[in-house]
Amino acid sequence: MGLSICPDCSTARSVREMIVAEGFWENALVTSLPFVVLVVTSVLAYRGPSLRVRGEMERKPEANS
Amino acid sequence: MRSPHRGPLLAPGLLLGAGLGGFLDGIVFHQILQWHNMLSNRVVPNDLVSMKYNMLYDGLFHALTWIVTVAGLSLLWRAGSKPDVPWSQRTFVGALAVGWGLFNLVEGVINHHILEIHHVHPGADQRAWDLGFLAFGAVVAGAGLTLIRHGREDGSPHRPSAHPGDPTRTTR
Repeated sequence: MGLSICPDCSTARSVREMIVAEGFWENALVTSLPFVVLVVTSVLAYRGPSLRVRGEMERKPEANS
Repeated sequence: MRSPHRGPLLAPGLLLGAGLGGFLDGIVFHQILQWHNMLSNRVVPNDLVSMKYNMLYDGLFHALTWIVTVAGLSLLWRAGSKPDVPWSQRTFVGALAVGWGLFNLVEGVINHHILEIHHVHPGADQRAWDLGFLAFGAVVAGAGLTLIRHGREDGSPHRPSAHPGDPTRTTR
């Protein structure tokens, strides 16, 4: 087969050069964008219902008075 | 007594749903079926270097998926120790489904339609596949929202205790 153990062979070096040349941070940002949206949504979900309950609790005494 | 609120159960459900959905996407579409990779519409994986290039961004995608999953597990663990959180299966499973569906919708709209960094199944019918992916996400998210709505009836607060029978001792 002619294969040899090659932990850092020419293809790995080519990939690194390609990644640097083609804007790693832009691609990384694009890759992470859906996750950022999901994290923001989960933060809103965490806070939202509790705020709503708190709001209802604050309104209740007024409704009874 | 504090009023029950479901936020601490919804948030980990969303994160875990997105994380597990992301893993499913990566494992099924990227690795098993090999229909696409993260940037396969920008750098077509038709030789070893371009495949390894895409593999790196697939790895980044899976790393983020792992982080989101761990964050979801951590929040779920914390929710388990909060006495005012209703331990509702419908709420949690609904949040998992919303997380998965929302992930598909956001990922689909941004990556497939706006930025076009990859398509679900590139080729003549790629638009149909991309729209089908969005439709599936919308159905799963809709089913999840319905479950969450029904979970409102599951109002009994969770009371964790490391020592059953001793109500004065609770887990941290």
